[in-house]
Amino acid sequence: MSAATQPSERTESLLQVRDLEVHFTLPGDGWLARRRVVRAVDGVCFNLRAGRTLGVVGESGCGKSTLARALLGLVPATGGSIRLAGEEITGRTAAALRPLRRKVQMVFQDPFASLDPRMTLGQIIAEPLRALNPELDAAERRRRVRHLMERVGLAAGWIDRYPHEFSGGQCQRIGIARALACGPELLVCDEPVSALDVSVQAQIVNLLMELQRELGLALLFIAHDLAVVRQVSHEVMVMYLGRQAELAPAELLYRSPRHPYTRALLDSVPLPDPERERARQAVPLAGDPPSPLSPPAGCAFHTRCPRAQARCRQSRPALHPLEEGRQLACHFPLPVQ
Amino acid sequence: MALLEVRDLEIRFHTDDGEVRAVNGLSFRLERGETLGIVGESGSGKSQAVLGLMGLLADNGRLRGSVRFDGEELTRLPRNALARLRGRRIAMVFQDPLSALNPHLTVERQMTEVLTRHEGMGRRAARRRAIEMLEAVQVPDAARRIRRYPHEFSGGMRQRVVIAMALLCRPDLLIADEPTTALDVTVQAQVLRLLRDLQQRFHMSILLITHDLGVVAGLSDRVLVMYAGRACEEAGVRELFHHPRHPYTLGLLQSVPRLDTPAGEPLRAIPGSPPSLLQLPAGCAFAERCPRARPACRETPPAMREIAPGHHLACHLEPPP
Repeated sequence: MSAATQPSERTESLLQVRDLEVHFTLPGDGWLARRRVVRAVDGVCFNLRAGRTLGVVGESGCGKSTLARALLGLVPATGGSIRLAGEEITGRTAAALRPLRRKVQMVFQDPFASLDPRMTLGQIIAEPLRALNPELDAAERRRRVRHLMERVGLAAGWIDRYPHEFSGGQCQRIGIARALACGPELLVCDEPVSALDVSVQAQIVNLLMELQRELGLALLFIAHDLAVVRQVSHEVMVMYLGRQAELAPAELLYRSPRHPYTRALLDSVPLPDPERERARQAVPLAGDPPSPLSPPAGCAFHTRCPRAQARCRQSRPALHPLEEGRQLACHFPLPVQ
Repeated sequence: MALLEVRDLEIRFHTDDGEVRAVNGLSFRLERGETLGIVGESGSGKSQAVLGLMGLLADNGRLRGSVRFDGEELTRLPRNALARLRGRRIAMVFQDPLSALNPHLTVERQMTEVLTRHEGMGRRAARRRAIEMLEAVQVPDAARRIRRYPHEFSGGMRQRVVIAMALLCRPDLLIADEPTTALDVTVQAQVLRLLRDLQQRFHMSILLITHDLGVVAGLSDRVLVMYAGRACEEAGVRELFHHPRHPYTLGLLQSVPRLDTPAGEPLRAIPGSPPSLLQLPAGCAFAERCPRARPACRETPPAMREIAPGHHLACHLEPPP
């Protein structure tokens, strides 16, 4: 995949996210205790065009799954804007979202749990068609389902079988066929291959990339596996405690990360190479990510950052544009390599 | 004499759907101070094999074969003798640290109980040893934190506590089943480093079960690759990563996306999926997915043979040069 050379033509983007905030209010610890606010997503900005993939990486509690749910309208945004094909989707009622629902579909992590075991493959894949294309008759639905099945590498003859007869990889193909049923423009994939065995994971990654090329799909690809994300993404966003730390074209981000957290993430990945693994010196990052309930003041990363200074503890770094389409939120970025 | 020697291990489960053949003719040795990585995908039998050799199979499981630990045959040991061995000389760390800790008891209570029960130590000495061990696994402020409950620790700290508990009795063998799979990547790096340091410090043997080739590369001296309940290849870690001979090992190494190679090529997936353990094929279990399979591969399962010193292979084909 070539490095993204995306011009900043914001009007062309299928998805435009600006200063998105998803805050949850939790009850306080006791009677009269102050209610606590979890800033699950706290100021995220990006554009995504048709035919492109934005990878989203970060550790548990970084807000990547909440971001996915907000894009699907499953949790309300408490601030900022999400525009899909030019239309604002924040603040809409479920009914008002309906016409837009067809454009965005989701692929889930657990292929078994996300399929109803009492339904046949045909019924599962046809479900979005029933809900969102009620004008289709049964014969037409079945014809489309068979076509979708073949498209994702399932034999059309399996249409009346049940999910338990299939392996994890095949179940994920069923989930992808269901997501494609209404002809979406954007697929939100939340850890789509992390429950799969490595040999099968590669099949699904290749399938998603093929489908993107053929159908011009935009993909938001959320995963904790940095190597998988590099494989599929044109651009990659790194999140930490709800905030966007860095976003850059994939090749640039992996070659020359400028946020110390991005650097630490990349350096932490164990490589399937005995010599390099044994040559490892210091551990890239000490400590665990802090609780999203009480993120540190200033830059949320300062408690673990090797470059942190007084300023990082006091003021939160703003997200600002840098070279070659990079966005960064760091007071003391790493030099370009 | 090897610390652990497993020969012709077979594990079967009786289920409503039929007999699940989880482990089939598995043999391996583990020397003192050595780390053997067992790699395989889900259903490869890697976890059932270690549960079996520890006498921890589910009720519907049956085990055959020989497991010798420090010269003693474990499969004939009475239950309580095996249980005693498990706390003291063989310790285990699993994927989910929460399931290994009792949520109702403080860490201090859980750690000292191991020592008072297994080693007959007094309370005060046990507490001192427990704090030392928490310090060894780098839990900061151990003397104070030992009084806390498991939920008051973060995921990474909990796994450190579990490792400290496992090491309390200075075991000869540590069995680590996906010890870092549930952890975030930056925390995983810390725990992997810790395991490597602890092994050198305490000079124990480690049996590492994992699906992650990067984790195996960093920790193991030797690697055993399992597929559908059988061993298909075993070699020193460098030999295995640089000269894999089994088509499955090769396929596995090629299908993982890596950060240390150029991006852009489609991944080389292994087609198909592993066979059902309810009806294993007559021949090589991998033949169905193997790009080099010949008719002979579908007839009889290949036996493990030594193709170079320390390099064992179960494949009918001539190994690639």
